Amino acid sequence: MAKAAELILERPGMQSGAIYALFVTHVFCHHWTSPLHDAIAPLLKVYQAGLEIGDTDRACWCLMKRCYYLYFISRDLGSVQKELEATIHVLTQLKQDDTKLHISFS
Amino acid sequence: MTVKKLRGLDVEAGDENLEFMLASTVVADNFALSAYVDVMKLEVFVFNQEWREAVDLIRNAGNIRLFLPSTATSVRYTYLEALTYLKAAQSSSGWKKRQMKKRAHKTIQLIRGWAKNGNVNVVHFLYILEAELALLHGKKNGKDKKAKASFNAAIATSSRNGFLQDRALAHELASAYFKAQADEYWGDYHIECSRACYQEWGCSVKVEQLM
Repeated sequence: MAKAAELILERPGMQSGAIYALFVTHVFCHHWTSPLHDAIAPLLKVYQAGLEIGDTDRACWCLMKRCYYLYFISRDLGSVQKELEATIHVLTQLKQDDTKLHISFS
Repeated sequence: MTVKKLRGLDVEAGDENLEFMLASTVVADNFALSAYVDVMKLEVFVFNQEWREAVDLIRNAGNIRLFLPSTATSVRYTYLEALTYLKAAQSSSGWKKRQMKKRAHKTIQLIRGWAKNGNVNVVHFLYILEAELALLHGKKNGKDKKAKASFNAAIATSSRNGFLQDRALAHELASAYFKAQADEYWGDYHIECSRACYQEWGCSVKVEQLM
């Protein structure tokens, strides 16, 4: 279902709903069937696409989830800390206080 | 904060901040945030093998899977929860042991179902849990051999799937098992492997602890 949604969203004119659908598929669906490692790059892409169309809330949630995944897939803790600090900086700039709170204890 | 704590940086400041955040989430009724804090705290308890604190946390946390439905975080929490119950059952007796064992079985059943349905991220969790479950059952019916085989499978699977911290924990648990069997050679071998994995992951606290 998630893959079908992604194919539909690739069609022109679907951009506005795409971010939400991609957020849902990558955060709630993909990890049940695919390796967690495969979600890192798409989550960053969704974040960038979210910023492009102005959906900063969901874009930042993707960034936050990406940091969790980096931790779960055993990325070196030093680089995870750097990613977290960079993410917190971005979230501060975008005034995403709620998401920032979610990430500051990880 | 969790990452800093595992790296051995600002440990005391991190503890205070976590407690403060947990208190503020309770006041604000932010259950999802509180669940995230609990999962990360449980993560640290499990790595430090502080099973009593982990059981208390699980007891007070409520149903985390309800607050974080369908996320990878709740999957990881389920594994940590099952491991905590198994460890608590191993160190207790009588009614308490039966209660912990029952809860562990229930949680492992969930993970078994996910693995059966094709979740590749939980296969190594299942092997670690099966090894600990076999240890709980003791030496009867060849469970001892099963524990050994499951530890080997857990190490191989977590290594193949790229979960370094779980591989390190599997080595550490395997070391405890071999040392309990008075097999110093394999006990030392696994503790050395565990230390190397933690070193590679960057978890200075555990590296120092295993010295």
